[in-house]
Amino acid sequence: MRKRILAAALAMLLLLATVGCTPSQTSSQPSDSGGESPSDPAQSAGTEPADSAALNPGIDPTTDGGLYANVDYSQQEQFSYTYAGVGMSTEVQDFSQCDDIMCTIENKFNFRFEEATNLTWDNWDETMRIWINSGDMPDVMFYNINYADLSNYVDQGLIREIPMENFAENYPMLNNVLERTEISNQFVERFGGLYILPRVVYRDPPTDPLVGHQMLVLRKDWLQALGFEIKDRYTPSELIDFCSQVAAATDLPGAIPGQTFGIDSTHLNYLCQIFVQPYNPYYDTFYFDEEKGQYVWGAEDPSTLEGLRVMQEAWNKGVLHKEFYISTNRNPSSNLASGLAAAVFDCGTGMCTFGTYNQFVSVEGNDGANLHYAASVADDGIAYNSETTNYWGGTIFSPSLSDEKLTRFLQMLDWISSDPGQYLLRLGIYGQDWGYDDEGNMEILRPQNESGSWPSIGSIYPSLGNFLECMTVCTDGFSLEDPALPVEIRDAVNATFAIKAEGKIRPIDWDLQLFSGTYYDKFVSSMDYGDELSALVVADGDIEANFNAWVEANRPVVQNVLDELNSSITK
Amino acid sequence: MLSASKRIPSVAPHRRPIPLHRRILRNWETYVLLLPGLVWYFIFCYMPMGGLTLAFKSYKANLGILGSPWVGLSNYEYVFNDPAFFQALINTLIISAVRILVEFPVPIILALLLGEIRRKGYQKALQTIYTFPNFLSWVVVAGVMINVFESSGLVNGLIVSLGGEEVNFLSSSTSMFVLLFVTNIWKSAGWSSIIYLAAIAGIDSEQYEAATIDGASRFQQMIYITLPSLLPTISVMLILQIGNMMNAGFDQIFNLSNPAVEESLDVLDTYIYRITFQASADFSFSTAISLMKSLVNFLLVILANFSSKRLTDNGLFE
Repeated sequence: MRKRILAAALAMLLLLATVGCTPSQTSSQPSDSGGESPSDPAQSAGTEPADSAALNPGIDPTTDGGLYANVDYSQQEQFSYTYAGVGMSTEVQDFSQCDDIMCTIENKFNFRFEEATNLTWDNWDETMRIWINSGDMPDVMFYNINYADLSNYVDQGLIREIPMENFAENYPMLNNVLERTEISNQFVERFGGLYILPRVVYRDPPTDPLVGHQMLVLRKDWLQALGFEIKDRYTPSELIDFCSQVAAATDLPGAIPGQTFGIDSTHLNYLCQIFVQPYNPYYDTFYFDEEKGQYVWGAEDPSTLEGLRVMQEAWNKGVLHKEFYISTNRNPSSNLASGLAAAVFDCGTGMCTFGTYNQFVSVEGNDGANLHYAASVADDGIAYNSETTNYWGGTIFSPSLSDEKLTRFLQMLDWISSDPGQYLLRLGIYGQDWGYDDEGNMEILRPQNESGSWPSIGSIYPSLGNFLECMTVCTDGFSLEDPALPVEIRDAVNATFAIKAEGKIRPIDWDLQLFSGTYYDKFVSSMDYGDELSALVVADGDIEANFNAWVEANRPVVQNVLDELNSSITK
Repeated sequence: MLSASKRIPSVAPHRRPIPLHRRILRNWETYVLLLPGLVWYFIFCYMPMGGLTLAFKSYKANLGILGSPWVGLSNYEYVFNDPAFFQALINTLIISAVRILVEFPVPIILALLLGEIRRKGYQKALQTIYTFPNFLSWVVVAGVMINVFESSGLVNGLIVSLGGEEVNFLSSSTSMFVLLFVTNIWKSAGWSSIIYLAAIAGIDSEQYEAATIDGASRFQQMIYITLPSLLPTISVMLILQIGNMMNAGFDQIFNLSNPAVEESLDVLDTYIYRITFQASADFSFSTAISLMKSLVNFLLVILANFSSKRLTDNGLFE
């Protein structure tokens, strides 16, 4: 009898354990109470919102100076938030060791980041998609904007709407930032409300319209040794000429004969920008053809083939790595520093370029003066670029976040968008990391490293890296004027933007940018032009025949996409 | 005197079979132990099958699987208009077929060879060496292989040092195709041979003793005793392999492939991954393709089982 009871008990236990694995049905609804009745910060402080990215020597950073100077949050309830983002410094997740900048902001607004999940670049989209769809998203997330997904989330109430009533009055600095990117208005118009706070890349865009920042960094000593002119721009044919000579040379200082190649880049699409874009600015998109009065597929134009021939010539002559199509072979900064690459075409913000410079000088025997910075242009000397939208991802909120918590977080975002907030995030703590000299000029106080340059502020305060530093305004714009960067790098980045500004810029087609359709969504997101065109470059056989076959192979689904576009968008 | 046949019935009296419910009641302790397993199966294997309806719906997270609107076959419309799908389908079938032709016999041969080794210590050592690669991740194996075969890798270094010309293995569909099979054989043959070794161990040793007395050589014993005894196992494994034809090995291909050979190595799983996870989320779409894959696999299993039963009298099920 005892055995029977034991068997029954064990069976029940197993059964319960199995059934117990079903998800709980708990859900928390946003509070209806209307929030924590924050004091009106705009009225309480009265400071004007920051409206310029330019460093303002007149600011007194020793005072709070912002709208929230007189708000005492310590008298209010302390809130905690869960957060998820990507590429953050891993140290930021150790909240027992909050750094000075994080502590300053948390204490000022009396909240804590209870948990910050750092997602990796390759699982960022996928993880967030699963969290949002399953209703398990953290309170606040840094979201990689995918219009079709976002539109679905809004329709289904999976992300929280941000109250727009008196938004400009309640959060003037945040509002000021959002106005810097057209995408904010477009989203509000299409969604009928505010659901996402796009992170603005430049408070003052360096070009109008804004273009990508990719830039060439070349070995100046090799250019000189091979008798090439030091210029502010290089054409594909000049690059092929220089790089092929580098690949063939046996006596260039620092080069590795037989292994050194020409140009390296992180993305295959960047390489297409050098070689294909000058021939066909629309090689990677659909566009509205005014003559035909309808949308067409840019890639199928014969001009793409012209660019592909040039790219293939570059590959055959050793301008590109023999196996440039494999991602592990694309390490631009590292290859430039080790003498494997003669040039890189990559991220060209001040920060990125300084990173490339730092990696270069970290190798013994390398001199930073041997680097030259330039723009990539077409053979006619003109830069061809596409207009880019001034944002990188955006902040979204959980539908279960209470009004009070949302308000407090928005106030924090509003403050870090102000000059005092931005100075803290960009330059560090006044008197400790930076200050003013006797003549009133800004000076960097943090100690220089062995190479004589200043370490990045993010390396001192882990909470900045892809977390606090980029919650409303990214650092790209600031790096055009960051006093901690070498002057020659800042000047080179600005000069490259100037060359792009005077070139031809393909404007954004907002109808297309925010279009969503069954065929279009799948085609656009699964078609990687960098991959596809690179495959054509290295394929056996005649490139024209391969290109035509590729166009024909894609035609059925492209035709469906075009049908969708032409039936949905009227110009 | 009664004859023996009259005294002792030649046939046992017919007894009515005990109904199932009475058997269950009589042995309820045993049956109750089955319950958790059955519940587990029902919850995790049969209930999710309801989710297959997603293949014909447009899934909305807030409406759930049941509440999402029906869309008929529209999820299949994109697929059947996409040349990349057909290319992936063809690649999948080709790769799987070559796997069956080239890879499937290798563990059998390996098991036969290992089974012939008389020194047990040596046999175990070899078995361990052959099995070890199975525990390596494809990420690691692919990374190593790419390093070995790239232009500045070991193989090209050897070719060049012997006076040959560098070969661009990684952009060649043919060489990547060969690499696909060679690496999979290297990685999994040892592991797969275990099941055949177990079957060999189960063969009655008296058969070998009798064959030895009859003068059969070791090779003849292998051909006429070991191999026929392995046939039921081989049949089952072959049926399972055929039933898995639409899965050409995502992990391996995803890690070994590169843009230059993607057209030749893109299989259904990589296609689904690309179009589902790199696009906006479309759970209905990926369910639709997966359902189609499962149906084809199911049909292949039935077909293979039928053929096997006709040819060898062995099958996975009746």
